[in-house]
Amino acid sequence: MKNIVKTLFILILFFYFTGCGDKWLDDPVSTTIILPNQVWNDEVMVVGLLCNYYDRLPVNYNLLNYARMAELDEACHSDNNYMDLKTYSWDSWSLWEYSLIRDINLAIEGVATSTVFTDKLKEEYTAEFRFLRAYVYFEMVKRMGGVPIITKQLIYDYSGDPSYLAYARNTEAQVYDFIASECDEIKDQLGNETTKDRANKYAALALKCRAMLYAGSIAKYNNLLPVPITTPGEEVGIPASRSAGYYQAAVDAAKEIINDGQYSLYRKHSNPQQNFYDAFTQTVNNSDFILQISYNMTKRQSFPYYNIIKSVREDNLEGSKINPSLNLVEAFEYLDGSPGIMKGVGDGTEAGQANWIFYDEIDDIFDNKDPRLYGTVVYPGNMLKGKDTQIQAGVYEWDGTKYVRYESKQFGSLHTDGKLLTGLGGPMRTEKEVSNNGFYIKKWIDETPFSSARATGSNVKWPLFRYGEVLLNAGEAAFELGGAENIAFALECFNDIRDRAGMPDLDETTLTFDKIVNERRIELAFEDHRLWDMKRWRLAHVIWNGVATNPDATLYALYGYRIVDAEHPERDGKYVYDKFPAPNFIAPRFFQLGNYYSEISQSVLDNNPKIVKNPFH
Amino acid sequence: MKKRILYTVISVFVLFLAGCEYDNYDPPTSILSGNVHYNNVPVGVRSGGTQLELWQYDWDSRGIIARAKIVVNIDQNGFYSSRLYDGDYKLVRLKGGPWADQTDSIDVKVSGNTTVDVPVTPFYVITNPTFTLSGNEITSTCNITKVGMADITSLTLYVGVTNIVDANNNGKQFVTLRESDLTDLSSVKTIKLTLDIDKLVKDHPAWTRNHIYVRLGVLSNGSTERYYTPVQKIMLH
Repeated sequence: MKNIVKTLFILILFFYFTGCGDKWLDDPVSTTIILPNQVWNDEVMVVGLLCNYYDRLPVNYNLLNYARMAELDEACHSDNNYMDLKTYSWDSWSLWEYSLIRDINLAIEGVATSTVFTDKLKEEYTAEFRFLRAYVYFEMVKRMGGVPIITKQLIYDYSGDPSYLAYARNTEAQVYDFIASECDEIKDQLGNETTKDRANKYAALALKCRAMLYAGSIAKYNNLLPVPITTPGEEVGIPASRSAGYYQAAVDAAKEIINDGQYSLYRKHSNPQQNFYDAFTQTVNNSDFILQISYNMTKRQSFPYYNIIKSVREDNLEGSKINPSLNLVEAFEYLDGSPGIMKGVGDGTEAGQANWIFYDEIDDIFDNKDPRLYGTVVYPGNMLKGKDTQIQAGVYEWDGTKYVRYESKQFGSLHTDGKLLTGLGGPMRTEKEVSNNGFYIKKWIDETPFSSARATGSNVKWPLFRYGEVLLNAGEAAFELGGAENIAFALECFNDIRDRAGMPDLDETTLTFDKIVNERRIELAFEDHRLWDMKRWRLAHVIWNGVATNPDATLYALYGYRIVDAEHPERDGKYVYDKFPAPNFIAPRFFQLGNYYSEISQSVLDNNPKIVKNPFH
Repeated sequence: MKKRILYTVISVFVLFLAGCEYDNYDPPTSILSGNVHYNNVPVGVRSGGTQLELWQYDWDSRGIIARAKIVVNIDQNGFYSSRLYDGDYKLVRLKGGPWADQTDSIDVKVSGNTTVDVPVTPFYVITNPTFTLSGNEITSTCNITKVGMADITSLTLYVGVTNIVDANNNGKQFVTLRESDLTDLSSVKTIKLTLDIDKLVKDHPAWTRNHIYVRLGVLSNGSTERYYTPVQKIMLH
């Protein structure tokens, strides 16, 4: 018994002296949780956060989310998902991205608490976070109109009354002004001179340039509507008096980019057709790109896998999703500057055959078109990856009185004369994963071997801002300002673009508003500008008015056929074209006044009684 | 063993009786309906184009106004209806119709089936529309009256093969009089359209060729929506 007591006593003493102190409670080293002060004192962590925020920037469409390319009049979708739209719902393009705004505000406040970073590094990080925040506000204002500008974390005090966290919408003009002032303040603080993957001074200027152009044109064109779209508190709608100031700001921001000479249009290939194609697919150190979403050896994108023309694909699945419409193809002018309407085409009826021109080669109908067409669209006769794309809808055979049409649902099928009937690249009227309008997308689809195979992927990059757009923005803003000096500057901008494209220069008389609309449509095709441009010009509800007979609201197809004609040997073996509404296209595009500003969701309205709704909703 | 089965059956039966119903309140039964009208004449609109909105007042008896609206579509003849619970509502003429924007709401008390007509002030109205068919030519006459503050843009005669006809539905054949033909509104306006039967057949393969539906619509710069006359059926034979 005594022994037991003695042993216990010794043991207790032993533990008492060897046990650790209670200091371990103060200094935890968790293996699963990262604490704020660890993040804000570690460059790798902060860059990791930045990556996350870049990745979360709002997107309408890009190389990973491409389906909306077929939402308007740029293209059809071969899966038909985006073709059955009778109207655009009020919440189309709606965005209320305050979770990202909050995270950015948190980061700005966090970086300021760093005890390790130098002041310069803090300033650079803060500027980059503020750029991202301005970008998100721009994405919101162009969709929703004015939104509450929140520049600090909103923290609930658990008092039971959260009403102090409810902010009313700022006016549309205030949000654009905020973006401008943010860009002005951060442009000289941003680093990243050597990379296009993160924002530098010129990305900030390009954002400001675009935002100011949008604000200027909303101020101008909204007030030209018979009944301008406004709310009493100016949450949407900008006074007309402000347009000149905004246009001037856009010109000034663009001039800073242009005059610094860091960027230029891509002109490495002497052939303008190939050059325009290369400008988007040869993206290593592309002098045109200012800020881009980058893909490389380890991070690839699969846009070519989903969109490459079937006859050239390198995988055994997918392909052919986005099919550029004839509307877009016809927007490309002829080399002499005349409208790009296809010449000598029928309409699929017997009477329409009288209009036919018999072309020697299947691509002769596209001769003398704007060279940019070659780099944007795969049309019949346009090669890809060095291979014939074989786009031929069928055969017209002379039966003694008229031509009879033959088409097949089999790729690469042969006609009774042993020659090609329907090509490996379609088009076909009812099948999926093949163009139903006769065209395929070429922009963004590179010729690197196996870039369209799932296992490989492509490293073509997506520009968020590029120099060509800055030129177009500057030219348009200067044109709107008017005056000899501004017009001369506008011509400089547009003619730089046109010269690179291989198109004749514009002059004072040929530079018109309609020309600018068209130039942006083709130069910036499939770069997510069409919708926002048509919105800010208040043209969307006019062009896409939902009327079945309106050729702008209907998407058209162009089918090429080989002629088989023993009676007229001079026509035998030639090619003719029919133009008609795309067979899969059901309802004309219908953009209503209520679509100019997207709907604010009910949950937002429920949570914050100060938020007013957008008009027409 | 037998007892056990008996207990099981009884307990299941008791649970069945005591369990609550799938829906624990009744669906709404009262129907609110009426016409959107000007001077007691219903205003014809585009199908699916215009809306009213209802806001239930004091819906949870805590004095909170519901912040979610009840959407009420107006049919092409200007008639609307909505199935609701009894109670007090505010009815709002949502911006976007062919009438002057009217921000005042209308107080509506729904108690059983209720009829509430909604007055609006169109920019222009069409009166005395007539449609006559001779051969393949439709001749339509009408009077146009300016009511609101807006400039007239166009007057259009629409032809359709189903009884929903307007600019965006079915209106593949139409003729439009432009502003320049509409400067003098005191005279009777005449509009003529030659039917293209072949094209109607091509556009609508299921069409019986017995009859067509016609309608006039007037557009002003006050709205992107038109004021339409009632749809009229015309027999072809």
